[in-house]
Order: sequence, then C-alpha cells, then structure tokens
Amino acid sequence: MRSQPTDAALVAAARSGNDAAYGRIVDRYQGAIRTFLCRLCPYDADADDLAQETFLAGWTELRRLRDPERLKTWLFSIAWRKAKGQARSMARARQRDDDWQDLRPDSETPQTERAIALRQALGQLPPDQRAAVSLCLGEGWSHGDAANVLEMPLGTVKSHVLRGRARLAEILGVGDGQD
Amino acid sequence: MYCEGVRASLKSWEWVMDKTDPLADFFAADAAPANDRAFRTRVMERVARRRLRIELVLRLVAGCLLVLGLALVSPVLQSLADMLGQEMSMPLQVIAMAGGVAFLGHAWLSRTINLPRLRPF
Repeated sequence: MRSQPTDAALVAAARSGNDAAYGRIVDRYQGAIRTFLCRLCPYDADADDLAQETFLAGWTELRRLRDPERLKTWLFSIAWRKAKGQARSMARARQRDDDWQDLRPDSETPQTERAIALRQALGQLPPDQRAAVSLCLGEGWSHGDAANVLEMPLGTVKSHVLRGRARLAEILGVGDGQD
Repeated sequence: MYCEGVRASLKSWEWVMDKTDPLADFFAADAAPANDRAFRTRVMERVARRRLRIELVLRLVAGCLLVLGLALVSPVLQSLADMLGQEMSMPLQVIAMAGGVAFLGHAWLSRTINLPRLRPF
C-alpha cells in the first residue's frame, strides 16, 4: 500500500507544474474548505464558488507559500479572506428573495435536519464568531491556529468560541456541555 | 471526532468537543463530502484556463520584446551592411534570413505541449 505524499511533497510537485499534484491537494482539502465556507455563506452555491476561487488563488500564489507544511492553514486563510470579501459585496448588491433552504437537498433524513438546524443557528451568529466556531468546534482547530487564520487576537478567538458555543447550544436547545 | 493528537495540541483552557458533546452530532451531520470529483474537475479546469492565459501573456510579452530588440538593432545592422559595401549586403541578408528560419525551425521542432502529468509520483 502506497503511503500518502506529504503536503510539502505535493506543493513541491505542484510548483514544478504538476497539475495532478495540485489535484491531490484539492482532493485532500476540498471537504474541509467547503464545509467551512458553507457555514459562513448563506448559499451553498456561493460557498462552492468561493471554494473554487480559494483553490484557484492557491494555485496562483503557491510559489509565495513559505512553509509548505502549513498548507492547510494557508488555504483556510485564503478562504476566510474570500468569504469576507463576498459578504461585503453581497451586502452591497445582490438580494435574493428565495429562502436559502430551497437550494438545499432534501431534508428527510434526521442527519440533514440537524445540518439545517446547525446552519440556521450559525446564521444567527456574527460572521467573525461563526468563523471561529466553525474552525474550533467544527474542524477541531486549536484557538492559536484559528487566530492565525482569522487574523484575530487569541483572546478574541477564545471569546468568540465560548460565546458562540453558548449561543448555538441555546438556539439548538441542547445543553452547553460545560457542566 | 477529534483525535488525541489534536487534543494534545490544545491548551488547557481551550474548549474541546468530543463525541459526548451535544453539538458534535450537529457538526458531524453538516460536513461536506470529503471528496467530490465534480468539484475537483471544475477547479482543475479553471486552473488550466488560468495557466493558458498566463502563458499567452508571457509569449505576447516575449514577442513584443523581440520585435523591440530587432527595431533597436536594425540601424546598427544597416550601418554594418553599408560599411561592408553593396556587394556584401545581399549575402548578409541571406545569412540573417537563414538564421531566422533556423531559429523558427528549431522552435517548431522542439515545441512541447504542456499536458498535465497523470501521476504525481
């Protein structure tokens, strides 16, 4: 069984023009990046567009990545910047009338119902808090790494996670687990 | 949901969510598919298009520089031809043209198509 190439090896191959290596990078991180962006954007289609933009920007800027081992953090930073830019442009321009839930796949299974409930709850949090919660609770990142990605002070991230978590637990009607 | 490695890297005051956490199920239910081939195809298609645009711009710039260089050098070549006399002018032109044809022929024969490699390793 072949071992998985490291991020550094894939970055080196992609920098030398190997598109298949970059495809492997996309495969490796698309799930996490898309999940993160779906939790930040009201529409899944926008989140998918942003995820594509993120990987496209990643390919273009790959030579500027100083530490290839931190590829994941770097890609999330790009995704966060894209999401912030998108939020600004959306606030200025597009207004959609349809309910964002109409764009989602069927919600028959309990699992999907939970996903919808979580998205609705996340939608009630401020964007910075939503991002911090998504990274630290959704992706299991440390507060320090999240602070690097979101370019926020560590204390701010900690505060966002604690408050966001409490708010989510309240909206979803579950215990906050801090007992 | 969170492996011990991640847990070990967290500070003592950081919030750790485990399987017993009531929110863990919600986050687990909301994860996007780990690997979507269609998404990958769309990304790589856009990468290929951007690569093509970059290469076109680079070749356009190189062509412009070549024309500019020839325009700058042409007075020197003209004065050289005048110095060597009318009888040497024609051979010089033939040599220059032959050099140009040889350069273009070499470029044509050594051209490469930048196909993506199918296996990274």
